[in-house]
Amino acid sequence: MKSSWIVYARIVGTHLRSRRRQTILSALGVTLGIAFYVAMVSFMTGVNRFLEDIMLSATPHVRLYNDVVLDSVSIAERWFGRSATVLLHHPKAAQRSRAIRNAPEIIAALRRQQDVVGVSPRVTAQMYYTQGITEIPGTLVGVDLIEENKLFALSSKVTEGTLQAVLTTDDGIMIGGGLADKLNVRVGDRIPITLPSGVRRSMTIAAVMRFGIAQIDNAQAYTTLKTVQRLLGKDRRYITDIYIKLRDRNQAPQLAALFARLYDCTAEDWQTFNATILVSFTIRNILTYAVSISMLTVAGFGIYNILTMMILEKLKDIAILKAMGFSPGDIRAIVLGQSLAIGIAGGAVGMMLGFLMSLGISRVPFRNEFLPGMEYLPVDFSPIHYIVAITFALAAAAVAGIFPARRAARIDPVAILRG
Amino acid sequence: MAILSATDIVKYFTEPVRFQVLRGISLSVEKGEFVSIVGKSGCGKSTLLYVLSTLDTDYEGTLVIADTLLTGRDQEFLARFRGEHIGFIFQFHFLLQEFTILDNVMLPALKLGKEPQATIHTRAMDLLHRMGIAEYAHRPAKQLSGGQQQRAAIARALINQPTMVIGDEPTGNLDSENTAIVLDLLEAICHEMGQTVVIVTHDTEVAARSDRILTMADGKIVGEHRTR
Ligand SMILES: Nc1ncnc2c1ncn2[C@@H]1O[C@H](COP(=O)(O)OP(=O)(O)O)[C@@H](O)[C@H]1O
Ligand SMILES: [Mg+2]
Repeated sequence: MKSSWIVYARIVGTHLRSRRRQTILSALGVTLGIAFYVAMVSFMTGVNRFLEDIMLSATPHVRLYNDVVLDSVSIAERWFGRSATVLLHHPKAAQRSRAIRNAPEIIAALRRQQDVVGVSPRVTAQMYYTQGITEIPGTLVGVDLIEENKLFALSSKVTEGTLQAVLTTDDGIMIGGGLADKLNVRVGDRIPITLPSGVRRSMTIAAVMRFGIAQIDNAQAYTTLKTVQRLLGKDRRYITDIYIKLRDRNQAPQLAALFARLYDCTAEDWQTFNATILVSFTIRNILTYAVSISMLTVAGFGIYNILTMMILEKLKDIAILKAMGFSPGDIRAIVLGQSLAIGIAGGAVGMMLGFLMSLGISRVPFRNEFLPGMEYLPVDFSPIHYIVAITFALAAAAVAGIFPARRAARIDPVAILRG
Repeated sequence: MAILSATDIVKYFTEPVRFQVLRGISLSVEKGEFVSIVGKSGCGKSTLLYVLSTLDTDYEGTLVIADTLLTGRDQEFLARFRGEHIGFIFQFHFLLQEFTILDNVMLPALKLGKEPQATIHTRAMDLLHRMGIAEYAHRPAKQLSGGQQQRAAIARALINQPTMVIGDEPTGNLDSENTAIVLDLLEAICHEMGQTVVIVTHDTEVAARSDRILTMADGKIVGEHRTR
């Protein structure tokens, strides 16, 4: 059996060499398809990864909070029983605290969890930034700056001032870059804020941050937990959100469900609150695959053409081989071998070319103030793209080769040898 | 003991009109026998050889070679059988044009895969020496003359030491000197190695060297003549 393969390879090689130009041309089709696929998919995955990293740099894997829910129906049902028809007019949300009950204990418990790498409590407060007579709505976020920095690399988002200054300045805040532009303020300026309760306070801008996420950059300011708790007139147990980072972010949905049950609060995983962004990733991937598969289809036709031509040209050879003891199966294997040889050669060169193209893309400088941390176009160099690429090349070659191979196997040697 | 026995072989061609090329041919060839078939052009000699060599399966009657019934077998089986038992020399020297002479000769043995490559190589070179074309072993077939290619084709037919050598005018392209070499070789494999040879020829001198001459006319065997 093994010696058969050596003989096949010998015949494949000789036949392809005798048709050098067409062979190279059809291999080139595969090369382009594969190179394009590798470059596109590496780039797209790079972009997706980069955006996902940005997204996850600011968002927790799981977020715990207290949802304001309308549960009056269930209360009524509990009273009257499920079988009764309960009609409620204009149910209103109960005036419930936004704070998570027993937050300090929950935080302590979470920190002991195996799957959790970090926990950061926060207090958020709606408010208005006042500048002259304009009032811009926004959110003041009280965080444990040191913990937050550990989890979300906060200091890397600081574009002016320092994180340290926020801690040391009285009523110091770190304001989102977009907001600072809108209010035309900079580090050192003071800015009055108004809370819904009517409390007014003048804050000092100690730093400016840019996450590359509009919701944060255009609306939020960070300060210490204590500052916000004091502004709201609450004690140190008052925590509205708990941000959690996990060891494995893909576990978020399951763990979120677990936390919600354990701690009797609402838990949301990052996949849920970033659903729209994840859909855009999928669409980009579909596009990449659609374009690459069309290119490979064209390449497949190229292979099909040269094989069909080669068979017509080598009718005599095929007849001789059959007369010498080569079976229809052997002939099929030889033609399929020619197809796969073109696919492998074209695919291998295509992978190299794709790698060089990816390398080129990763060297293109790309700076954007809204995307901090990006200096060059992002490219993902995982070997998986190359494995998929060569699989594609082989599949295209196999499909292109199967019909010519079967036709060659059916050739009647007598009709040809008679001349 | 008959190494080949064909019984009532009948074959029709349907193109351009249906007509019977072989009209009930029965023949039996002994092991180690050298048989030649003669007859007018168009009487069906080549057609008969294609049937005997198992390449043509579209016939009526039965064919048995080396105690193996070959009628009705599938292509995979017949291919294997041909590789092992039959060496065919075509009327027109059919070599693989892009391959070297040596590769052409070695290929059937490499395909059969029964011996190491070195053994096959040695025997191929030995056959090429006998055919007087060893010096061209590494040339592509297409660079050689018709007569040289014909001799290479004979070497190829003998490489697997087949039970039967079947030749359609194997000396048709050769001068008298090379014809003599080929006949000596065919005679030697019959009488020394016990292989069997069946050839078609136009050349009465060639026919005279064989053990038995069969005369064909109009799709039938009409005469038989033992030379010794
Ligand atoms: N494929 C074919 N289709 C129809 N007729 C054929 C075919 N091949 C050969 N013939 C005819 O069959 C007859 C026998 O041919 P062939 O066996 O080649 O004769 P020979 O070898 O004795 O000269 C001839 O009349 C030839 O024209
Ligand atoms: Mg003939």
